[in-house]
Amino acid sequence: MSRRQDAAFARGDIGVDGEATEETREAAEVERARAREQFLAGKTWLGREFLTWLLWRSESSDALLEFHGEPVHVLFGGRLTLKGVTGDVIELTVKGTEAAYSKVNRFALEHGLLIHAAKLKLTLGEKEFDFTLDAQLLDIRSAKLPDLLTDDEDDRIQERLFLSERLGDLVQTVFIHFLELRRTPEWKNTIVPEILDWLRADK
Amino acid sequence: MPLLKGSVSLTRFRADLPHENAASQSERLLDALRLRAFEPIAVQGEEERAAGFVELENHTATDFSPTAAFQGDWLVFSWRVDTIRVSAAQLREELAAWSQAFENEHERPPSRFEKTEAKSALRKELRAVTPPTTKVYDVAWNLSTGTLQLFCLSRKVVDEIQAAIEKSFDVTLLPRSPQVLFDEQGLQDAHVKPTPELCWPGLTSMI
Repeated sequence: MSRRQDAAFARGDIGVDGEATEETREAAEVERARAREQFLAGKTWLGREFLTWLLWRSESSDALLEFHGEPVHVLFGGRLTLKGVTGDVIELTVKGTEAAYSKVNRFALEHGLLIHAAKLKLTLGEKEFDFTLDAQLLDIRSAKLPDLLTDDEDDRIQERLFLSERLGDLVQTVFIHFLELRRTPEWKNTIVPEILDWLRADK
Repeated sequence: MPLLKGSVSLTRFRADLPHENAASQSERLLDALRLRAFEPIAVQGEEERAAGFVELENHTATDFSPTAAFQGDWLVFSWRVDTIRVSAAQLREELAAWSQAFENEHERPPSRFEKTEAKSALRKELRAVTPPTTKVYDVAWNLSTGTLQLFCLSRKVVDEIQAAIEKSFDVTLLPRSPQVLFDEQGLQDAHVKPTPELCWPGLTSMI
C-alpha cells in the first residue's frame, strides 16, 4: 500500500483490499442524497442553471437586455460556490479575481457542478451594483449600492430605497428573461450546445 | 441599520394591499404597526425574548407617526428583537459556589431537588442583571409597486417577520424565489425540467 492508502486504511476509509469501506460508501451516499434534496427543493436547480447561463452570457460584450431603456451588463467577481448532485465532489468554492472565467471553473461546470452562489457586478447604464446572489432564493447579499447623488439627509434614505429596489427589480427581470429562454426549444437546441462548447474550449 | 448606510442584504417579496383611498390606507397601516409594536422584556418577568415593530430611525419609538413611517412611496419600519441570554458558564459557576456553601452549612451535599430549585432561583437572579441583546432588521414596503424588502437573510428571522406582517396587515407575502417566479410565469414542471447535459453530464438520470 502507498502512504496515502495507509493513512486511508488507518482512518477506516478503505479496507485491506483498498476499496472504500461500507461506512464511507454510505456516508457519501447520504451526502449525495442531501445534495439532491437541496437541488430539487424550491427549484434551486433552476437558480443554478440561471447563474451558470449568466456566466456564459457574461463572456459576451453584448448587453444582456435593456431595463428602463438602459443596457444591462454583468460580470462575475472574485468568488463562486458550485454545487452538484453526482460524483465525488458535491461542493466547490473558487476564489480569485478571474476565478469565474478560469479553466478550473469551466472544468468543474463541465462535470456537473453548477453555480450556486456568485459575486456579481451588474451595470445598468452608468450605475454599478456589486453583490452576491444565491440560486436557492435569489437573495441579494452584501450589495454595495452605487454612490448617492443627493447630499440631503432626508433624500438619502429615499435614494437608497430606490437603488435597492432597482437592484432587486433588475435581478428579477434578468431571471425572467432567462425563464423565457428556458421554455423555448432554443434552450435545448442552441444555447445548451453553445454553453457546452464554451466549457470545453481551450482543451 | 442597513437601509440607512453600508452594504445591504435583502429578501424580497411581493405584497399587494387591497385598493382603498390613500388617507384611510395610511391610517390603517400605521394602526397595524402599533398593534404589533415592540414591548421591552420585563425585568422581573420570565420571558427571555421580545419582538415587535419599531420606527426605522429610532428603535425605542413605537408611535409610528406619518413622518416617521412614510418615505415617499415607501412605508418603512424595523423589526426589533431583544434577547436575554443567561451565560451557561456563569450559571454553572454560581451553582457550584452555592453547592459548596450549602455543603459547608449543612454538612451534606444538596439533593437533586434542592439543586434544581437553587438553579432556577440563580437563573432568575442572573436574568435580572443581564442586559438584553438587541437586533434590528429594517423593512421597506413600496406601496405603489407592492415590493416589500426585508433587510435580512436569516431564514428564521425572515419567517418570523413575514408572519408578523401577514398577520398585522392582513396581506400575503410572495417571495421572489425561483419557484414562485416559475409559477407566476405559468411554467409547468412537465415542460421545464433540469437540463441533463448541465446537471449530470454523461449520465442518463440523476442517480
